[in-house]
Amino acid sequence: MKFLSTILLLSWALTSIPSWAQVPLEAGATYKISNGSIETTTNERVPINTLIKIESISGWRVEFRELGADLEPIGPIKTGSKIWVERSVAPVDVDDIINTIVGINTHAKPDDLVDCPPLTSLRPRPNPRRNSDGTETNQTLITKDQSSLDRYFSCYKKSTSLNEDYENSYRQSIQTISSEYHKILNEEVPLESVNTLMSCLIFRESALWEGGTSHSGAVGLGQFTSIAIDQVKDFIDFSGRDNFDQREQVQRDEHKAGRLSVSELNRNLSLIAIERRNYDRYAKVRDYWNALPINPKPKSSEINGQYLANNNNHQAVMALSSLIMLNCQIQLEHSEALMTQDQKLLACAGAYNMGVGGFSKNALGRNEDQGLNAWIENLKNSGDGQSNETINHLVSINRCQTNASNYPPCGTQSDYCKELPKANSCQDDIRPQCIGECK
Amino acid sequence: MKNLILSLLMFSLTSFVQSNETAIWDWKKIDQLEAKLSKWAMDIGEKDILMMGKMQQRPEEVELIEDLFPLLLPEGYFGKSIATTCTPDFERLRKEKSLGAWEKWDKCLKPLFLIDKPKWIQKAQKDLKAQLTTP
Repeated sequence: MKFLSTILLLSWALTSIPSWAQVPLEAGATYKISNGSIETTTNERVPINTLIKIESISGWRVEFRELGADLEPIGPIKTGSKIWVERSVAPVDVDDIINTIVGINTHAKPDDLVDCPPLTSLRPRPNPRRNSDGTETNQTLITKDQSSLDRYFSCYKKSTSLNEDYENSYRQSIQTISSEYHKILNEEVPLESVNTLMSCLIFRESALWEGGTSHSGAVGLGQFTSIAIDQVKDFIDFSGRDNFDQREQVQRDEHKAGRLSVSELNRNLSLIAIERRNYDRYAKVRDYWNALPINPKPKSSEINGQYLANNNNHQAVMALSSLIMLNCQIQLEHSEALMTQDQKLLACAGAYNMGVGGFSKNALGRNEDQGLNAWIENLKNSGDGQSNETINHLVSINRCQTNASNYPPCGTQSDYCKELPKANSCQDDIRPQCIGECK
Repeated sequence: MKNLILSLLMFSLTSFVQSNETAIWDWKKIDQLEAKLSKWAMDIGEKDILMMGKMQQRPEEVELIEDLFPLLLPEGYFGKSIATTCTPDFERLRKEKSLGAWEKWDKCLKPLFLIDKPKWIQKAQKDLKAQLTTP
């Protein structure tokens, strides 16, 4: 009977374990990191296969030290999040101890590592742009100029006629929109950078100027989904009432009259502040739309899937895409993320794919480590269903916009890459190499 | 063996966040969650919460706060301003408990997350909507 109850208890306990196994930690015990790495509060990553000794466990944190070859703690005490340490470690077995003592590194041995082409980085880090006095400017990205951009599009064109559509029509539309966008950013980002980013975004979204309807139902040059269509219509139709000062006063009066506690007052004032921020954002995007010198400018009621799928409406479609970019840019402006303006532009190109909230949660660096490489690393670790697509999207746009490099866009179709080597040769003697998906 | 069973039992009984993954959330549960998380945040302290905000590997409790109760986060917490975008709509839903308010909240969330909403938001949306449509 005792045996049976033990078995039952054990099976109940085991079924309570979530899909990610967790090891209950004990202070003083030794563990091996066996499932991913552990991030410390100083944003260091302690890699897989490291042996660690738990120093203390307190609330949400775990303090630990790494163990050296003699199984003695080495280096400083590090702090990680308890739940993540529990998820990452496993009890140490005899083999781990023997391997550590005899110095066998359980990471990949040097002989196992092979060079993977291409040898140069696929994600070139731009050099910082400098002022005349040698100090770095706020702008870190050196983007292609119009003629380099045109050559890039020509090099990776899907067809001559689609590239002609760009050269004869789309290029001028993007320039017109970028000029207004540049103004609304208070000219903090060079016009050329805005124009290049917008061009590369639409080039990517439209599958190399084709437009059409994607498997997910997104339409046209700007690949508008039904969610994005509703969003841009909301911007255009926005007519909220700015009565926030009055509402704040009412809350203060209620507090004075003893009908609201201090915490209720603070909570209500916080909510009003958020509504004010949302109001200002909507009003700014609407005003930008009203100022855009495009003709004809569609009424909100005319904007639907059919309208946006028609490439003849390219000017309006690209203008509507820029509303989504601007909305993101304003949200990042208010956010706690430390980024340069052109990092924000690239981030918004990523957010075009997964939403500002999705990009903020899954991609943006939570410390000062911002930029494409950090975002890609975060996306890979996020487990978000859209992360691979967003990585390809970001890498493609960055390849397109970065000056002096002409790496191909990530393949959007499985057979597209096969066609790339047939593209006419690009400038700077860089022969386009098909390297497949970027993820 | 006994120690293992005890540890597993302790773990499954004390995991506050895990228990919330399976329970159905109603209006009362949402209030209770907020009160518990508010206390949790107070106990942890502002300095540690800000530190958590700078990590990719964050405790589930703070993820839950980010998703549903971001007003509990201290000023300067990474991502607070974006996380609060739809909070006024969620608060209106909690007050009105109407399908119209739920739809307004959903309309705000959709473009913010496009494909995958955070898991706690998904759970709250699903559970609360079911209660609005059930007579």
